[in-house]
Formats: sequence, C-alpha cells, structure tokens
Amino acid sequence: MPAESAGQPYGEVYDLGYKHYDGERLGRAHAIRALIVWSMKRGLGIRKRWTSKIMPALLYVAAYSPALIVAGILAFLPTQVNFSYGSLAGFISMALLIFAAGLAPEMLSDDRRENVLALYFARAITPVNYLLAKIAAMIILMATIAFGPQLLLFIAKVLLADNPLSYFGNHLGDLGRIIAWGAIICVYYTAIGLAVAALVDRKGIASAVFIGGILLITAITNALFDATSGTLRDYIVLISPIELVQSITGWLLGGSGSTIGNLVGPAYLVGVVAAVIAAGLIMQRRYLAEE
Amino acid sequence: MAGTTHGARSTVPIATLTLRQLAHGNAVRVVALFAAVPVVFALIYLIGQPTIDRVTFANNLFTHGVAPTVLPLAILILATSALGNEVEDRTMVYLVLKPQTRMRIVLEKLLAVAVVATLLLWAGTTIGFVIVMRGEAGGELGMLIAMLVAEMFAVLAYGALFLLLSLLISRALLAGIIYTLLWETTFSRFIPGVRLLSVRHFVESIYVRLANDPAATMDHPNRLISAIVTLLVLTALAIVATSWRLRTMNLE
Repeated sequence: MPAESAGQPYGEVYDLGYKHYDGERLGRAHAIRALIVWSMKRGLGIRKRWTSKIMPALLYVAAYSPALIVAGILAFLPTQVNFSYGSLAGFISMALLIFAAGLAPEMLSDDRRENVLALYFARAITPVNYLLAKIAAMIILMATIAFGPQLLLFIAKVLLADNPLSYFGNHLGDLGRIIAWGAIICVYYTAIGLAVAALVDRKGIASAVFIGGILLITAITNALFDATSGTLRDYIVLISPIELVQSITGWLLGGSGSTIGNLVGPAYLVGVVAAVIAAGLIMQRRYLAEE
Repeated sequence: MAGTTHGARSTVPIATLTLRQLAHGNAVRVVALFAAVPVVFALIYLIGQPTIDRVTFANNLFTHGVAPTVLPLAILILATSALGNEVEDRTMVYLVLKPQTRMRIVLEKLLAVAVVATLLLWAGTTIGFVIVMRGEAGGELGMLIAMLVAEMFAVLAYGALFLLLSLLISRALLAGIIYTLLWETTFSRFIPGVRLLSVRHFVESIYVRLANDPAATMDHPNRLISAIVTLLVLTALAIVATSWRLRTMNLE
C-alpha cells in the first residue's frame, strides 16, 4: 500500500464496465411463459442426455400406436371392427400414469433439492406464478398424450365416413366426451403427481411413491371393497385411483368401466375434486405458507 | 454419539456406512410402508366376511401380492438409494478412492441392502401371516418359513439386479418400476415363455417346493435346487457386471 504522504490517492474506483440492462423488460407474463416452456423441455428430456429422452419417446409411441393401428384397420376393413374410444382409453391412461410418474418430480423436486427456488423468486416470478407455470407445463404435456390419440381416432372416423360432414355433425357429442375425459384424467394425475413431488425431494423416490402408492392404494381399496358389504362400500371407488379412472372412462367413453364403480357418472368427479383440493393444500403448505 | 459404531473398526465398513445412510434417509420409511402391505391386507381379511379359507388367503397374498409387486419394489428402492444415489450425489468418487476392490464395494452394498430388505420384509410377512392365521399359525409354520426363505433369495437376486440397474441408467427407479409392472407382473402372467426369464417365477418355485402344501400351487414350478441355483447364478452374474460397470464408468 503506497504511503499517503505522496499526495496521490491510494484507492481508486475503476469502472470495469458493468452496465445497466437497458433493453426491453419483458415482464412477468414473459417470465412465466419462459418457465412453462423450459419445464416442458425438461419433462421431455430436451437438452438432456439421450437416456432421459427414452422414456418420453417410448410413452408417446405406446400411447399413439394403438390409435394409428386402429385408424389403419378402419381404413382397410371399415365394416369389420367397431373400435370405441373407451378401448383406447385403457392404453392411454396407463401411459399417462407412467408419464405423470416421470414428469411430476421433474417439475418440482429438483428445484427444491438444488436450492434454486430463491433464484427463481429473485426474478419477476412469485411463488404462485412459479407453481402455476409448473402446473401449466405438466398439464400441457399430459394433454398431448390424453387428447392426441383420441382425436386422431376421431379424425380418422370422420374422414373415413361416407359423408364426413354429416358424420362430424352427428358425432360432436363424441368430441365433447373425448375432451372432457382427457381433461379430467390430466387434472387428476397432475394433481396427485405434483402433490407427491412437492413432498419428496428425490426424483426417483417421488416417482416410486407416486406409482407404488397409486397401485397399492388401488389394491388395498379393492380388497376393502371385497371384504365389506352394504351401500357405503360403493363410495370406496372414490379413493381408489386406477378404479376411479376406469369408472370415469366407463361413464364418459363407454367400455367395461370398473368392477367396483357403481355410482352415477358425475359422482366420480368428487374423487377428482378431492384430489385437486388435497394437492392444492399440500402445495400451499410447501411453497406459500412461510411468506 | 454412537461411540461404539465409530470406535470399533467394522469388518464391513462400506456396508456399515450404507446402513447409516439408509437409516437417515426417507427410503427406508417408504420401504417399511411397502413391507407393511401384507399386514394391511391381513387386517382387511380379518374384518371382512371371508369367502376363502385362511391358508388359501395367505398363499394368494404371497403369490399375487408379495412376490410380484411388494418384493421387487421394496428392494428396488433400497438398491437404488444404496448405490445409484452415490453417483447422483457425486460421492461415489470418495468411495472408489479407498483401497478396496470394486467388487468389495458392490458386495458390501448388496449386504447392506439385503440386511435392511430382509428384516423389513420378514417382519411384514410374519405379522401379516400371524394375523391371517391367528390360532392356526403354529400348525402352518412350514408355509411361513417357505415364504421367508423364498424372500431371502428374492432379496439377493433382485438386490444384485437393481444395483446393476442403478449404475446403468440415471432414472433407475422409474425404469425398475416399469420393469416390475410390465415384466414381472403383467407379461409373465400372459406370456408363458417369459416366466423362465422372470425372477418372480423362481422365487415362487422355491416357495411352492418348500411349503409342500396343497394350497401352495403354481403353474410349472421349477425344482427347488434348480430354482435356487438359477437365482444364485443370476445374483453372481449381476454382481460381476456391477463391479465391471463400476470399474469402467465415468465418475466425473
């Protein structure tokens, strides 16, 4: 350190060239949109190594191939088969279950485990925005599997009809039911998945808890249904995830439905709404309570 | 704290370390829940109006619930958190720096997984069995022992397989769950040939042969000795493959 007596200042502030950002500020809406797109990319394994891309790719193949095959069969043997949306729904809901198991932890768990939530909230994003973006990203991805194959089958049926326009007009109800079914299943699995992911920090464990939990609860409630009698047991289906999904499929799209589902259609929505409320409470506790 | 564990030098240090890691993690709690599944089903059987007798129920519980689903899932969670997490947490480097062979690391990891899995599964199965049988448990002790022995071999085979899996792919748990659901549970029920490549088939063969009970039946059980040898060979192959993978993989 130079002596002060030299009359020179011994300290100097250098302008190292830090500049203020004076470009356009894109605002909160843009930040949320960017987070949605980024979360979707992570969910699909984009910009990750190829092993992370296998699972989503396989699931898309598994969900879409039955619809493509059926559309092909309908094109060549139109009168031989009568393939309903309900029969496709079995494949799709299985694919959605596995997809949700992989996606939900990808959405929430890593950010908590790596302690980067504070970095998000330092931007123009509030905790509520963050959660909404993650929910939106997951629902959009789930919707690509829930709606795609069914719509493909619908379009195939319209185009292969003798009179496409009148077929379309007569079967608008089908379209409505397909969309209602897809929306309900997406919301249901997304709610349960994100609730688990909000509680468990490790992605692997979160996936296992989600799938294992759903299968175990379904098995246990099935056994409970067989072991009990009376009218009260008809409500067991509401807490039995896979049976609930099957019952909703049977109600909206036809098909075999579920053996333990004896309620009238809209009553099943109680189970879905309960799952959504529970998930909302869990996320509120985990992300918003401290503020 | 715990001066005894730190002071006395363990002959299996990595296994001891892994046991401590597991004890502090969530995985064991999740596995305990899975292991408690037979107890839940036994309680439901207890409160319901049973349409099948106790021995049949206990047998069905093992062959349709425990062997195809509970066993693999419980072991899968333990195995991936014992070895795969070391890679994910980037702590594997410190483990392989020690003057131990890679084979030793794998063996000790398997030992830790086997100890925890066996204890939890045995507890769940025994309690569930006693609840179902109540007063008759003593008379059917052979069936219970057959279940426990079969579980022990399942722990070894699945444990070694899933240790390997957790080093091969990053999302080992999810891949393992899908393998369990599709291969061990669904396909092997519909496609007969699959059973020869299914751990579950050999586990159930051991159980059926040991129980030697008219209620304990399955399609085409293997002979006891061939089932045991198959599972042990599978375990050994998986251990060798895991050690090889540990030697060659990039730990960063």
